Amino acid sequence: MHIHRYLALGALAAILALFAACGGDDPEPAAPTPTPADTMMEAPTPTPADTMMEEPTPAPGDTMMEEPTPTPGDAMMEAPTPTPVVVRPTPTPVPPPAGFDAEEYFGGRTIRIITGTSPGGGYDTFSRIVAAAGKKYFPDSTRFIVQNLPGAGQLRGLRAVLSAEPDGLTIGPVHQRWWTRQALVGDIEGFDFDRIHILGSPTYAVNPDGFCIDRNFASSWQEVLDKGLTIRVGSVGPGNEPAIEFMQENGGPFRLIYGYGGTSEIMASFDRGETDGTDRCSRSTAGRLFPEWIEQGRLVPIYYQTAPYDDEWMAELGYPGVQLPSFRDLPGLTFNPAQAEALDLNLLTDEISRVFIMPEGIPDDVAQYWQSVFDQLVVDQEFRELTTIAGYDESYGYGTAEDILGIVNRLRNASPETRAEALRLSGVDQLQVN
Amino acid sequence: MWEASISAAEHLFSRGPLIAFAIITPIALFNGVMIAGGVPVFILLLSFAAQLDPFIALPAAVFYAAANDATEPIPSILIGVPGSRGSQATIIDGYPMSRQGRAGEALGAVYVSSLIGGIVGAVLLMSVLPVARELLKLFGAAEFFLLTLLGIMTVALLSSGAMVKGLLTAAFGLAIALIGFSPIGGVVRANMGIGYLWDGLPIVPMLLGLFAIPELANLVVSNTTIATERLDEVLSGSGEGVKKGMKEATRHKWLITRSSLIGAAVGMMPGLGAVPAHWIAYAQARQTEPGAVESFGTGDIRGVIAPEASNNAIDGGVLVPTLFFSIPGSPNMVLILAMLILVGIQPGPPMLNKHLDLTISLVWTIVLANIIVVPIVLRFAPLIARVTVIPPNILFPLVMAIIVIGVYQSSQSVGDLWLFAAAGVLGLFMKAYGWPRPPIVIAIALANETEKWLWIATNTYGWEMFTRWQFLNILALVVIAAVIGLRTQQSASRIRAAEEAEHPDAAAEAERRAGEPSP
Repeated sequence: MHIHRYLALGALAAILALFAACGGDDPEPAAPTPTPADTMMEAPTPTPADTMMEEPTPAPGDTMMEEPTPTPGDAMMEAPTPTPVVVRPTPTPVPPPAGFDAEEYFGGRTIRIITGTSPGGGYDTFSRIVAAAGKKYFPDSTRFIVQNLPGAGQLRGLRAVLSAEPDGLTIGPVHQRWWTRQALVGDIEGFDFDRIHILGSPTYAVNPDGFCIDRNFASSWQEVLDKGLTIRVGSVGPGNEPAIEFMQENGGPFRLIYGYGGTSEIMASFDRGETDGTDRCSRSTAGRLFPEWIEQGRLVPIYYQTAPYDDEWMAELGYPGVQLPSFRDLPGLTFNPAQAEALDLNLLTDEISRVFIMPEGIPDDVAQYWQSVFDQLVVDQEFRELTTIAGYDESYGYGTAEDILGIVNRLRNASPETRAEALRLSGVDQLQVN
Repeated sequence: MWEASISAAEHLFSRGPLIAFAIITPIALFNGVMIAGGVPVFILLLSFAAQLDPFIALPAAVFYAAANDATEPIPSILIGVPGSRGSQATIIDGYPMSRQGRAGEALGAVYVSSLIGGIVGAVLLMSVLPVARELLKLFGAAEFFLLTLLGIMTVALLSSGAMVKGLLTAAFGLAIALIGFSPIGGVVRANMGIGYLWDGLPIVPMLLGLFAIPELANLVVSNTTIATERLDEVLSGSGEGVKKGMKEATRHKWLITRSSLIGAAVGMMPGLGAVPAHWIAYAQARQTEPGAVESFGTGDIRGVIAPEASNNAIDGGVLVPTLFFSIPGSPNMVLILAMLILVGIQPGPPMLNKHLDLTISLVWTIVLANIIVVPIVLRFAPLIARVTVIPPNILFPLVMAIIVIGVYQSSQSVGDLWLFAAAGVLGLFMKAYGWPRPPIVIAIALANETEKWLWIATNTYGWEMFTRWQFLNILALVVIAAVIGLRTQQSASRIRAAEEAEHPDAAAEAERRAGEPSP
C-alpha cells in the first residue's frame, strides 16, 4: 500500500512533466543570454551596464560636487601620452605532442579538477568555468568533475592534487598564499615548484589597479593631507592589501578595517559610506557592480599600485588626460628601500592567483597535450566571457609557468631581510601546514 | 516592471522550466527528508548549469532551494533532528507534538504556514525590488552586529527557567566557534595544531551530533516509538490530524504574517543568513502570543507555525543581497551566485534593469515551488507521520545511516565524523543534565558574523554608531528582548517555586524541561 503512494507521487510528477511538455509554449527565441564579453571583444572599450550608458559623459552627483568639473588630485600629473592598457600578449600555444592519441588516452575517462573551496566559492566557480569551457578540447566521452575538498585554507585541496596519480586526469588551482608560503618558508611537503607541472594562471594580472576615495570624503589626496583625514579602507584581513598596509605602517593616512567577506562586501561598505576608499575602482569591479558610482562621479582616483588605468577609464571616471601617480610617489609618504622591495615582491605574488597545476611525474606527452589545451583555453572566447562575468575582464591575462616561476624565484632568491619583511607583509607566516 | 513581469511569466511557464520543475520536485522532496542531503543535488545542478538556458537553470535552482526548504521541518518534527541549519527552532515544539502522536497536526500547520510565508516573502520582495539597493544602504555594520546579537538574545528568551544555563552554553558555543583561522587577525586560533580545525567547527556535524545522537539514543534505550500517545490515530493514516493542523494555522494569520515579514526582512540583510530569522520569529511568537511563555516547548502548535512561516519567507529575502550585491544570503545562495556566473548572468545592478525579467521569474518561482510542493507534502503527511510509530530497532540504524552519510558528504572529511561523534557525546550529557542545546548551535552559527560585524562597526563608527537612528531602533529591540527575557525568567522561577512547594516530583521534571527547550 505504501508503494502505491510513492508510485502516485511519481505519477503526479510525470503528469506535471507531460503537462509541461504538451501545454507550454515553445521556448522563447534565444533567451537573452548576456555576454558582456561580446561587446568587450568587439569594441575596444568595455562598457558598464547598457542602461547606465545613456548619458555619454559621467555626470557627478548633484549633491556631491561643489565644483562643476572634477579636479584631479594634487598628486596627479598631466599625461604626456595616453597610457595603454596593460594586456599580456597572447601566448603561442604549445603544439599537441606528435603521435599522441588524445581519443585513446582521455576517451571515456574522467578528469578531476580538485578545488580547495566549498561549492560556490571563488576557486570552485573558476574550476567549473575551466571544466565547462575546456570540455571541447577533449574527446566527447571524457567527463569532467569538480571535486570540492575544502579545509585548511585550501591546503587540503593542494595536497590532494600533489598526491594524485600522475596520469593527467587530475588538475587543481592553487591559492597564492601557498605559493608565497612555499617560496618563503618551504614547508609544504611535495610542493616542489621544479618538479610539479605548472599549467599556468588564467587570471594573471599586470592589470591596472588604482585606489579611489569617495568624493563625499575628499576631492584630492592633498585635501586628505591638509585636513588630517584618515581614509578608512575595507579589507578581508591582513596581507590582502599589502600596499595600504605598508603605507599605514609608514604613517600614511589610512585605516584598514579588516573582516569583510570579500570584494562584494567591501564594495557594499563603500557604497553605504562606511568606508572612504577602495582599490576596487577598476572597470572590472566598480564598473560592473556599481556603475552608478561612475555616473555620479563619486570616485576620485588617487594612485595606482602596479599599473595605471588607461585613458579611457580615467575619462569615464571624470579625469580625461590625467595620469595617476604610483603610490610610491605620493607626497607626504617616505619608504625605506628595503621595505619597498619586499612590498614589490608581495604585489607580484598577488598576481599568481588560480595557478592550475598537476602532480609531478606526468608523462611528457600527456603533460604537453594538457599544456596545449590550457594555452588555447585561456584565450578561448567562451572561457573569457565567463571569466569576465566572474570579474576577470580583458585586463587579466595568461600567466605562464615561466611567469609564475619567475615570481616565486624572486621571492626565493631575495635577501633574508627582504624575505622576512615579505613574509610578515603577506601574512603567510601565520599559516600552519602540519 | 509590468512588461518584465509578463516576460518573466512567459519564460517561466514555457516548456523548459516546467519540465525542470517536474523533474526536480520529487528529487527535492526526497532530498529534503534526507538529513543534510540537499547540497549534493545542488552541486549536480551546478555542473549542468553552463549547458542550460539561464531561464531554466536559475529558476530550477531556486525552485529546488524552495522545495528543499519546504521539506526541512519533516525530520525536525518527526525525529527531533534538524534537516539542516533551518528548522532548528521548529524542533522545540514540533518534536513534543510528535511524541504526543500529533505529528500530522504539526505537519498540517507547518505547510499552511510555509505556503503563506513563502508567498508573503515573495510579495514583499516584489514590492521592494525597485528600491532594494537603496533600502539596504540604510543598514551598515553596526546594525548587522545588533541583528546577530538579537539572534543570540533569543537564547535568553528561549531558556526561561534556565537562563543562566542558556547564557553559559551560548558563551561556550561562542568560545568554540572562535577556533580556526581568523581573517580579522590573520591568525589561526586554538586549533591545537589540528589541520582539520583550521577552518573552524563546521556546523552540520555539530548540529547533527548535538541533536540526533541524544534523540536516537533515547529511543533505543527507552525502546519506545517516537509517538507514545494516539498511536491508533497515527497508524490509521486518516489525516484528521493534518486537517486539524491546517485549520489551526489558518486561525493564526497574524502570527504567520508577522513571522513571514521577520523572515523576509532579516533574510534581506546581507550576510546574516536564515538562522537568526528562525529564532527571532520563534522568540517573538513566544513573547507575544497569549500564554505562549508557559506552553511553548511542550508541543504548542504556534511554536511550529512561527519559525516555519519565517523559514519560507526567507527564500525571497535572501535573493536581495545575492542578486543585487553579489553577497550570498544563505548557503544555497552561494551556489545560486556561482550558477549566475556559469550561465553568463552578471549579478548586481543589471538584475534590476537588463535582467529584471529573470529576477521576477525567480520571485515567481518561489511562489510556484510552494504552491506545487505544499499540496504534495500535505497529501503524504499522514503517511510521513507514521515514521513516528516505527520501532526504534528499525528506525535507529536507518536514520543513523542517513545522518552519517549526510555528515560525511558535506566535506568528505573523516574529521567531520569524529566531530559528529564528539558533539553527540556532548549532546548526550547536555540532555541528561538538562542543559539547553540550541544556544550552542545559535552561537556557532552566528559567532563569525557577530565577531566580524562588531569588529567592523567599532573600527568604522566607534561611538558614533550610537548616533545612527537605525542602530538605535534595533538597539531598542535588543534591550526590549533582554528585559522581556529577564521578566520571563523571573516569572518562570516564581511558577517553579510554587510548583515545587505543591508537587516536589513534578517540579523536578519541570526543571528538567525548562532547562531543555529543545526536546
